[in-house]
Amino acid sequence: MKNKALNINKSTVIKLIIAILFILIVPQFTNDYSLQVLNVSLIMAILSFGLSIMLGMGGMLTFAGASFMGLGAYIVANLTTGRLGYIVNTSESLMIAILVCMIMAFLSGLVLLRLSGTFFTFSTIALVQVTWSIYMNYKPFSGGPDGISRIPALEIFGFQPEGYRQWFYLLCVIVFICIVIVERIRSTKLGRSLAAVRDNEIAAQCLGVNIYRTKVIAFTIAGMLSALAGGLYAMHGGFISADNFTFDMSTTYIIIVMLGGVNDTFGVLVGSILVNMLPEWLRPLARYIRLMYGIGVILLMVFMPMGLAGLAKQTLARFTGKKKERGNG
Amino acid sequence: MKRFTALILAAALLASGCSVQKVEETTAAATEAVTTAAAAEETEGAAEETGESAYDALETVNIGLVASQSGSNKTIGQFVINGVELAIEEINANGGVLGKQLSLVIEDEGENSQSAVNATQKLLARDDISAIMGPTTSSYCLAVSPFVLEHEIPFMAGGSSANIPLEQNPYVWQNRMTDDQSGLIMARACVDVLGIKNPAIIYSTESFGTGLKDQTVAALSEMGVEVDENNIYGFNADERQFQPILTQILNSDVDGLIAACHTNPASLIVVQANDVGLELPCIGSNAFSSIVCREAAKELADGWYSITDWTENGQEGRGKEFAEAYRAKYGEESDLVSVSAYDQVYILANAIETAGSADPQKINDALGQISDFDGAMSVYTYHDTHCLATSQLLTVNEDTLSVLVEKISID
Amino acid sequence: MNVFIQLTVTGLAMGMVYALVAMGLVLLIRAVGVMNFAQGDLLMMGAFITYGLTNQIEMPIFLMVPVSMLLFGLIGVIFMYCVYWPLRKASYPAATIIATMGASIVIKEICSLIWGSVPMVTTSIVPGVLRIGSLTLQYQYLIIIAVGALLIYLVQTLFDKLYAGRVMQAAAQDGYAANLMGIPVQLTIAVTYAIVTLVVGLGGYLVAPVFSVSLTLGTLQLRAFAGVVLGGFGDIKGAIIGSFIVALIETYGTLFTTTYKDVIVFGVLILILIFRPQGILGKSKIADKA
Repeated sequence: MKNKALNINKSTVIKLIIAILFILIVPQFTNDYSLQVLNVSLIMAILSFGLSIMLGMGGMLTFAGASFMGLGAYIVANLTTGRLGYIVNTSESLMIAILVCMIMAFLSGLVLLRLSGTFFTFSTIALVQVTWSIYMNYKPFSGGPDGISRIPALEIFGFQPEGYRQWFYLLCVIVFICIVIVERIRSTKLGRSLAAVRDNEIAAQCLGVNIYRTKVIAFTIAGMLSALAGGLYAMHGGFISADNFTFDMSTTYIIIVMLGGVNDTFGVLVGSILVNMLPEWLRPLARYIRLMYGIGVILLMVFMPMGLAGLAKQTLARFTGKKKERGNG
Repeated sequence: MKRFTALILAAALLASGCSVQKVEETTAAATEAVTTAAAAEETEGAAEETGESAYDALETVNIGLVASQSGSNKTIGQFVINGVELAIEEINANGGVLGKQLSLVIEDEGENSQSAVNATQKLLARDDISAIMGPTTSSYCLAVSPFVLEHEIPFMAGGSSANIPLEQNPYVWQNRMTDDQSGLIMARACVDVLGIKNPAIIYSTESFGTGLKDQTVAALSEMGVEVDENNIYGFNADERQFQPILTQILNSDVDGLIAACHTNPASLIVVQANDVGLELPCIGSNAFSSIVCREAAKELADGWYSITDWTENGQEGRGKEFAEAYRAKYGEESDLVSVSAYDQVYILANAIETAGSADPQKINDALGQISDFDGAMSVYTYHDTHCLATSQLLTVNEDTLSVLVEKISID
Repeated sequence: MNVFIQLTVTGLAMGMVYALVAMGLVLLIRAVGVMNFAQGDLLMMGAFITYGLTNQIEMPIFLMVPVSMLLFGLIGVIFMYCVYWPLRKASYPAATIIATMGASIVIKEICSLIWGSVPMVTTSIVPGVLRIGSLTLQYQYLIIIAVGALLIYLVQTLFDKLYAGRVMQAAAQDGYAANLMGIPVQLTIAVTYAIVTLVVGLGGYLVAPVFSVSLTLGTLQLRAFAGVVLGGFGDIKGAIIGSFIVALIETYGTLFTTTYKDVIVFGVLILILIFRPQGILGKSKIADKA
């Protein structure tokens, strides 16, 4: 027991060192183009954290990420560009977006989470299709297929990032806060309840876990993280359109979570960076790029279903001669 | 031992981060032929003082192209690339520009605005690209517009959305008619040529279809033809089953059909309109006269009118030369986007000659002086909206050929 | 009234197309508990392969059909060994779903590399349109309905009446126990995949003349999913009825709005699920395996 606790601390330290080195070194060697891709991957990681709460902790596969991301992004875009006739400053509109998404996620969670397993998963697919159609066509809210452009950059505590480098540092801070929150959730009652629900719903119920309530809370948190990601995405790129919030994008987020390791917040971050950077590195392949991507996804699932984090854990275990830990820590 | 493995692991993960750096390297490697990016940057400061641009120190004049090489828009992307490569080949065979060869750098546009932005950013991050030819999807052009402004490089947008000029970006240019102009021409052709008084409109709900529909409705309304809201039908770009819509049109009292969409649904609309027995005068966007639609629908497409920038038949002068050269090189007919991209290269080459330099700023200034430039698709003249085209064509499909009815100019 | 009847007819024809896709989905759900996100792409691949055999290799139809069926069966088995078999013991059921998503991309890309992305048109075996009064329906739809019904009947018989089908069900319900009783689980699952691919592949061949052979054919699958879910997830009859309901909602929906068709189809689906959490025909105690 003691040993295990120690282990976690150690790996946390390692992760911190990696992260700090990453933050210090990377911006020195990159141009705007790579930094931009990196920033987007950090934003996508925030959304994926939400999914990992749902999937990793709760065992529920949801595609609703893109829906709430879109809602958050469009709220921020509408409020900050003054399309509705009044301008709200950026940090406040981000707050409003998160709040609205929290309420929406809570309400839809109340309804959708009464469905079990696959029915729930499919209802989220339906939700993505519905919201995509609205984002694509309802011009007063979304600007129609041409989207909304000229969204100003986030200004927070008097700091407004100029250029991608400053955005990078800002996003690193935000991602760090998100990781701390998600890690906290993992070790609280909610996280343990979710894990219990994931492993055995009936047993969890017998132990007095309010399954429905636990799931709704998790869904709401995931919705809030999606909204945060959406708002940041809108303000980072300055432009949004419906094709950023499609079913296909939702699958990308799920792939990120699976690549990183469903249960490992840090792994999800690495997964997000890889999923975004790999297509860029593979650009010279041009017409084979998507084929490679597809094959990669299958191989990934076949050879490391627990993602990078699982692989790392296995390798570590093999090197240290410890017995392979099964399941998910 | 444990610590050691942890270190290895950390190094491995770090490597994944560090290979970001590799992007830089590959980019640089790709520019082997020219002076390295860094060198170009260094000399820039000195060059500004003497009035000589660093771009003129390069061995070639480099033009970037963002076109779809993967995903569902690959067909269009290939047509674009074919057109561009043909133009570059011709220009280089005739001595290039400013005595230098033109060199093309292609980046994949992908399937959503994020990947289009990434591709454009990759081009913008290089310091040796004199001008960029952009994606054919309007919303992608809108997405990259701010970055183009930031890097101050002339950008030929492939999209035709009327929202692009509204950005008032001094570096973004369009060589196709914008959708509002097309809408006006569409409305005129409807009323004057086809005599439609109460049209039904079907449109795909992406940028192009929606834009063209809105502008056509507005233009028709100005001409005294009000389109009933119930006679306007939108559909998703991947729709395949048009019978429900067409049945409703058939059973309403409309006297004509206007269709605005890209090529994929166009052929299905043509075939299914025939199936339900629709015998109204029909007019469509450029997709309905495109080679893809006519090859798919064969003789069923006959009788469809179309407002387009290009038809490969019955052209004269530059247009004819292009159509023949394209046929000879690729063994197939050209599409609207090929000729549009082909002309973009010539417009840029012309601007570079006028400017006497490959400096982006100078090229951009030169683009502002363009006047009566004879292209394969249209005659190009500077307008305040940065839209260069001056005319569009009304065509009709006859015997699976697209035949020119009238060239309609707008001033 | 005319419009209404025509919409009903079109809706039913579309329902049959969805049902063909949905039936395969249900077979897989019953056999291995996997929601196959590559189902639509298998349909598309079927359209491309039959197009290639008829129009490029120019095989006569009596030769083309068995050859393509053989190919589909083979592809089904390959598909199973790539995206299901290695993953059957994955600790997260999501892993198998993601793998099928990857397969969906791979199939689409392979087709686009071989045949390009220009939509191609095939002519129907019986070209032309059936007209009764103002009612119209392409003859191809009649073929789709006839062949579709036959396929559904055959599959239903195979799985519910014949010994082979019972063996497959046994393997599906409890692979371990089935194995102990001497049932070759691996083989039965492979055969199931082969049959499923064969059915959707033929479905692709059938819809090609009406929808053209294009890479976007795969998007049909979301509607088929909707049908499966409505039908109670795991029941062939239910899935088929569900598919018809989805298609009818879709076509009647065009009377109100065509732009927001997706909102109607999937909005109604969510509503139905809210009031019938197990689907319209679902029994409340079906084991949720996927």
